[in-house]
Amino acid sequence: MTLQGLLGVLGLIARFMPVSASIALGIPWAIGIKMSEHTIHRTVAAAFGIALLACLAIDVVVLTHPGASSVVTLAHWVVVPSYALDARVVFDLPAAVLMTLTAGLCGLIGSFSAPYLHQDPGFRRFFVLLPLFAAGMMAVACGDTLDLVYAGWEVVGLSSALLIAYFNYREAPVRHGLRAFAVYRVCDVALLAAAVILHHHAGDASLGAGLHLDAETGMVVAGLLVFASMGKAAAFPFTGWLPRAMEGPTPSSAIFYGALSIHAGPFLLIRAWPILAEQPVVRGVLVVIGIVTALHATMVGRVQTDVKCSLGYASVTQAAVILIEIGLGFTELALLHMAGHAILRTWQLLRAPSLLHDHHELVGLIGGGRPPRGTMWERILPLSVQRWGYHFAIERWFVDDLAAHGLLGTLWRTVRTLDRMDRWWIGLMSGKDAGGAR
Amino acid sequence: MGIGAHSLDDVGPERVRALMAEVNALAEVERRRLWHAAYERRFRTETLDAIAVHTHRTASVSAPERRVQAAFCIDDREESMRRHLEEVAPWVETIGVAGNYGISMYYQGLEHGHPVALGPGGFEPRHLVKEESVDGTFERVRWQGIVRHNVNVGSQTLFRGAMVALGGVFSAGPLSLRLLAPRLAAQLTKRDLPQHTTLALERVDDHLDAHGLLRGFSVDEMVDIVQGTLEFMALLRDFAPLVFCLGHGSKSMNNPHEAAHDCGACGGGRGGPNGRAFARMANDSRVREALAARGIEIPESTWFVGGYHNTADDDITLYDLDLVPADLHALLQETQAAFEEARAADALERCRKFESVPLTVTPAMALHHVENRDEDLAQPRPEYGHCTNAICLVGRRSWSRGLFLDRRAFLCSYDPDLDPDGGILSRLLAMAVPVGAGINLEYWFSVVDPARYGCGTKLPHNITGLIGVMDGHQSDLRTGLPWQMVEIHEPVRLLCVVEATPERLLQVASDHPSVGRLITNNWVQLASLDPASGEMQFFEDGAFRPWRPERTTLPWVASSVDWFRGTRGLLPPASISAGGSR
Repeated sequence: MTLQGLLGVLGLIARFMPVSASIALGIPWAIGIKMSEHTIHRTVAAAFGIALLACLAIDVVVLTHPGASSVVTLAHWVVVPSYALDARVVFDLPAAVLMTLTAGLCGLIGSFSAPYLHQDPGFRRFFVLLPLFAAGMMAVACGDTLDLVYAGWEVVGLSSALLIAYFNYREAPVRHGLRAFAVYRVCDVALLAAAVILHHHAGDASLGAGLHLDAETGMVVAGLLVFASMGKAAAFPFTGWLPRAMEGPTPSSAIFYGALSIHAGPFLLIRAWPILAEQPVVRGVLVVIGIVTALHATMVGRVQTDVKCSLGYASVTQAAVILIEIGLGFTELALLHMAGHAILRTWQLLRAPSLLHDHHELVGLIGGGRPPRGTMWERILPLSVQRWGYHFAIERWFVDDLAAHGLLGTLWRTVRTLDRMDRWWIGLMSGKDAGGAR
Repeated sequence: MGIGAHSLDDVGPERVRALMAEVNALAEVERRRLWHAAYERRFRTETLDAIAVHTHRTASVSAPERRVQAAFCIDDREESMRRHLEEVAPWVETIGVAGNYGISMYYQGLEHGHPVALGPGGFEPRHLVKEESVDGTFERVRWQGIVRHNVNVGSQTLFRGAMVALGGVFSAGPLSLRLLAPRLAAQLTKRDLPQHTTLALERVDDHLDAHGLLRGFSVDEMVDIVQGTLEFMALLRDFAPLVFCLGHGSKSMNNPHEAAHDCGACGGGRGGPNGRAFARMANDSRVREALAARGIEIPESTWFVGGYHNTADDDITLYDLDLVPADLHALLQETQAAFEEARAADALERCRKFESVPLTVTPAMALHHVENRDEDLAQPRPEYGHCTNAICLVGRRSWSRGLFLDRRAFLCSYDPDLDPDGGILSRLLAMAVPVGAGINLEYWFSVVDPARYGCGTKLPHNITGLIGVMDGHQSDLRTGLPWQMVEIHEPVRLLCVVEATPERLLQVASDHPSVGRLITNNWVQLASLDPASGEMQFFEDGAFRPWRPERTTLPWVASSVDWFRGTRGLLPPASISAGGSR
């Protein structure tokens, strides 16, 4: 078997394991067949175990053969004369990194969640959504065409929103799930637009090299991709959804916001590097966005009083640094940064409920209180600036309210108005009140 | 309720309709009140009837040979531990006493950063006791803490965070190990604390330290403490050669409610040092001399050993074993073996209530499981704490020994023969009833309305400001107990059975309003077991009335394991032969 053939086979195994698990668990769930927690957990563990082994094998191949990659055409979605819409996947170094992270971390989260969510009413829902989320990440990781990436991107967004709203009997989780979903959707429009433009101008939505775009189109596409990545990466000014997403059970917070979901944004840009590379202006904008986000997140994160939010902002800070690295062209550094950050943050978030325990242990080791932090800023900045800065940070730079009430509020009101008009119109045509015209 | 659905088939449709009409005619609150009263009545009947039969059975049994006495906290979780210990070693007599052993102190162990209060809640300790390394080998590994702290804090900042994150791939190994093999990971990262330590227990001078605390206890204070505690232990004569004094606490990971599993009598602390300090005091020859002058003769051949029971992994640590006289070494080893066997049986009994553990496990597997469980980051139920607590027995062990109470009972030792004027009983109930009722009602309310009185499911809990938990991103601070701690609790009010006459109980209730209010306002149920006749009376509507048993039989099984093996739910009481009831 050739190297490419091997990569292709391994890649397809890893690519389709999570989605198979999700289907295997989702269909019995949908038609009401009972399954024991044990069976559910075993199914997920087996799927991720196999996927992880395949990913590790891919890692060995791509690390020992620099530049190795394999493109597999899954299907021809649309074939008309002179035009073909292909579903293609690619297995190369960036794909290998994200796929390994996805399989490994989702597998660990799966084994963590089995006892953690034991007897919780949503146990089954969680274990259908977890592999579904992983399936979306896999699609993003190895999608060669933007259409396929878009499909995975949407699955990631939907499953994330559903997991934020995991405790759907309380109001806050549902509201915050919806908020994350709204931010995702706003940014997703850009991704869809980029795909359409690519198809229109290049006849293909491949993210790999070899697309011949004129300067303006290239710039528009690159700009749209950057915009699309900002939602998932919780970049400024979209940061507000991320701390609010800490509503789900601890393991889902860990996986979605700390580890994988937040890196989908930067990853998209690494994948689209051939397009981005030729657009210095867009890269410059990306670096600026990264810097602003990093400053915002690190400043706001420092004043958070609860463990999950401070870790959430810490995640945004590093995701922003990764965006800067990509903007500057260090894509391989960004990949390494991404992998390390994902693993580290998963650990920290999973351990977050041990904070008090760890605090006592730390104090015991040091033999007294914790060493003070932030003393440097206290020395440098005058008290008035410190106070102002604190206020500015605790209010999250005021962007949250602005975004929620201005941007999303407008969107929300528009949708409601359209909905009302729609109902009124239907009512008028069908001759009865459809119930919406209030 | 004790009535199966099939009973309705037997009464005929006419009467079922009449019954349903009655039920529907009731107002919502009244209906619930009746359900609850019926529910409690069944439990009360079952328990009091069982005690009546069991007391009768044990009355005809001569006391087993007694070579060791082992004191445990009155905590309901120690009920099973004591029962198993007495089953595997019939020559052990167990004692129930508040786990602070009468000591209220600030304690600073070698591994502690600052002193923690160990003593009854509501009292500010005035003494400080420090643990010291005997050979001076202990040095705080300060640099480890500083490195850990800096990495942790640094990982959340901008520049240092980037550095830490770049090296983050190396944490994949430890992360996987910690999640997949918690017990192994814990063993690998365990800190080696020196074995040879001692408590700076005795006061050298009367200077107050910077916090206004006295360093250690004077001999006079020790004498008072030991006397008071021995009275609470009902141990003023017939001392065995070895007397164990075990405190308890609980360790668990990823559990903001970790302290809720610790010893209530120690104000939510870990009571090992109290047992250890008490043993040291009781072994002191000057203390013994002074006690002898007060009429309490502790024989020279008796030695006290302090210890600590971790109720999460059922580990038992004994302190200061190097000081045990040589002639007791054989007995000590024999008792340690009995502890080992008992803790495995206890782990097995606890595991039957953990749905994730198969009912077929062996004691050794159960022990392994609980040792894994308390290190597991993914385990929201490291132990069930006081779950299912419902009973409080105050009296001689002779009549409760060998009675299977399914980890539901607070057991306080009390001997009416040693308390002619009722002074000990008065002090004992003033301590035990409010504590027991407090715990019982905390669980009661948390399970009755988990969202409001409890703090809901712990899965989305988020620690804020090192003081409490919120739900998710933002909420009020949550008070009460989480659902995972109370899910198997049956909400019944504490049923206290005290070996004392009704007159004496009424006297205590009027002397101590804190006890009296709980009883007269029906926050606890109270029954009197007459020390002389063994007759029971139940306090109802402001007066004691004779208890007439509905059933006069009680299952009789060879061992606890025979009774609970293969079951998950709550079990009714039974007499255990191996426990000394036959």
